[in-house]
Amino acid sequence: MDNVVIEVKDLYKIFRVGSAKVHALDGVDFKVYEGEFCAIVGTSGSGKSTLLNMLAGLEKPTKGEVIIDGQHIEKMRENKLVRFRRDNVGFIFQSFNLLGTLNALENVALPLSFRGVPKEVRLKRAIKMLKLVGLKEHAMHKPSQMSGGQQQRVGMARALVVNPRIMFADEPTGNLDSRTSKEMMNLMREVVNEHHKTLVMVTHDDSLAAIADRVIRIVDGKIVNIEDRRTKVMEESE
Amino acid sequence: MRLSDILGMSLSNLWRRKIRSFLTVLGVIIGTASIVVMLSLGLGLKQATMAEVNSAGGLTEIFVTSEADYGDGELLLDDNTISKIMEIENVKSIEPQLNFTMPIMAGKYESDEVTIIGVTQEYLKDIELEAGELPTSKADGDLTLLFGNQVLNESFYESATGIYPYYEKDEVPQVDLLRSAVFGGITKEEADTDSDTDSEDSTTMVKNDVDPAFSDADDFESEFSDGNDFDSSDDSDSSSDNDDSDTTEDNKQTITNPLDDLVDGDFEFDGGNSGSASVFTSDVKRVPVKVSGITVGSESDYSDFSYNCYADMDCLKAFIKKNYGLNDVIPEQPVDKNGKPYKDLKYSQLVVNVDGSENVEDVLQTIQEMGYRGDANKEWIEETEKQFMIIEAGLGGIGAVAMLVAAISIANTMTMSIYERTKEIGVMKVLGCSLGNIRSMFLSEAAFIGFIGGVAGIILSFILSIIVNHFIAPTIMEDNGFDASLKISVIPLWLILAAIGFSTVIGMLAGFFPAQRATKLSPLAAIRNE
Repeated sequence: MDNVVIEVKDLYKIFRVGSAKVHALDGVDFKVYEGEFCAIVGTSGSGKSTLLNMLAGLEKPTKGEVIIDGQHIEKMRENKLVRFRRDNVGFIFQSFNLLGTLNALENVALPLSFRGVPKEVRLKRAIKMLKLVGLKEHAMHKPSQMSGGQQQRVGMARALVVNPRIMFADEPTGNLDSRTSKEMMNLMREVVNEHHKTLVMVTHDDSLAAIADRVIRIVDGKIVNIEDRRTKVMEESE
Repeated sequence: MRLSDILGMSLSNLWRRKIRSFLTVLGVIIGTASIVVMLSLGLGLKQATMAEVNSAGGLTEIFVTSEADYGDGELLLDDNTISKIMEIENVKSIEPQLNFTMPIMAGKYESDEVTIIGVTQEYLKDIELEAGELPTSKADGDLTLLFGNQVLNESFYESATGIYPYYEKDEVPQVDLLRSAVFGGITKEEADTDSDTDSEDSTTMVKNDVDPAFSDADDFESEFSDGNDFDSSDDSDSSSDNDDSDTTEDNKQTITNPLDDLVDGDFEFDGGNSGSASVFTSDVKRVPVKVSGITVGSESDYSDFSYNCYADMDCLKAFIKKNYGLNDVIPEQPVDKNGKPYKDLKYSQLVVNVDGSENVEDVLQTIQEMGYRGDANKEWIEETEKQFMIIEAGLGGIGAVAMLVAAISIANTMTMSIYERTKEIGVMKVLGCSLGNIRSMFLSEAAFIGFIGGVAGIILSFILSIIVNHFIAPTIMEDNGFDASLKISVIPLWLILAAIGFSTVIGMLAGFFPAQRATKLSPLAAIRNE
């Protein structure tokens, strides 16, 4: 079997809304393996985003464990989390979140600057990443001069530039039309296949999730179904 | 993160919000400029004062006077003392001063006591002249004087009436000192005898020629009796080689004083008037005195040299030696326990020049241990410096209020900026920007505001300083008796550096809490979708 990269054990997240308790996550257990494209699918309010936030260490669980690469994320302090993300994690946002003052190239190079990589080196690597996502000719454009699809591809390049083992994508196509969404999904698929990244994507769109290796379906904070598309595909092809 | 990257991001963030950044920087500019200008005024005032001190002696001079009571021969200032003090380490030179007084008669005016200070030629060289030239150093027994420009006004009265024209008639004595006949009076007083020099029943009449055109001796006719009690040894001296004076042995003085329409037409004076106020009685020997020059200044101006007459040391010594015998009491000279004069002349003051201001303390102490009284400007300056520090602190405090307002404005700008960029900060955190880097970014942004404001504030200060020095300073400085060329506002290099450093630090302090806040923002903000 493949190496386990992410292990989630009995994860709870309970919000207090007034006197009522809301179980955003209600005892979640699953594993993500290396080189896997894993989709977490659920409707709005199902707790899928909360789950991703906890995987990335952006939120603390009420109870349970998140172990990435043998390290307990839920116990880390913020400074250590930042370092952990810097060294292991790439993040793709729904609303792209490019810095408006920087052009595409500089946006891609930004995470490298947090690591103290010298300017020439990081720009060289950034241009390589832009080439990878097919936006080399837009390198000098500001985010406001690019379409949503282009911006998200820049976001993708930014997530890839630090060569992370794990990538998280939070509704990466949420702000895109269906055609560009398709392109984006294919790009992600390509990256996982060719660069052997582990990608965890959150989406509400079943059709998009179909491209993933495994689909974790979540309803009301509970996993209702884990579908391994690879075996399915294999079964189908047999 | 590299420092250059942090600074680059801070600058681009400031540039992104130009107007807000500019307004905040403007606050710092005003704050910095107000502190710098205030301090520069204090510094300028201090420098002006110090310049005055320097011109009046400087930091390396010690003024030595005799502390002893008259009668203690050991501690008087004479040539012996000079050679003793010269032996002290670090003493460069010594300039003695010799005080002497004598009555002086000029034209129809006279003064019963004019202070004459014998000084070195070096000392004389520093005195600016209104007219004439510096007194000669010729030591042939004739006295050449440099008149202080206020002496005539302050201490001369009409011989006949005793009226001070300057005070009582509000007019300047009409006599040209450089061309008129001027006499000094020598009063002999045997050491042991208590001779009476009172002039109550004097019948002295002086015929004065006030008109400069007639300053020639031929017009001048004066007769007066030489005091019989003069020492015979000095009699020969009394007839001077100067033809202006003419001494005749006559018991009755018959000097007519023709009315001088130039001065006072109403002035009636009949010969032998017992109401004469003159001190030039029969027992006062007249000796001609030459006035070589007058110190700078008009009748209303005054300087340090305005109220005394100055003579060359050697010249004055020779004059005294010529006119006073060994047993005569010389004015201003101390006498011993028995009331006898000393054999040699005693100085009233020695100005000791030390080779460096850092050695003044030691030399001063040595001199004081020798039993003399020593004063140095340095001590006074240290006291004054303390006072100026208080003044500067006060002025700086006023300026600091503006700086405080600027600091609050920086804090406000930074807080606003952080609220606006909550999402951006969250994204950076998710992308792996460490908390320290985020803090540094915002701190350096605030520091830049302070720094840029500081630099621009200094530029503004220089502009204000030039304006003040150019247009305001000359009148103020002159009104307060300073040299008009002195600056009222002085910005030294250390103040420039300190001001820029200070404004930068203020910026960082003001930005500290906002920056701290930025590090505490949740990275979740990046995930939220608006």
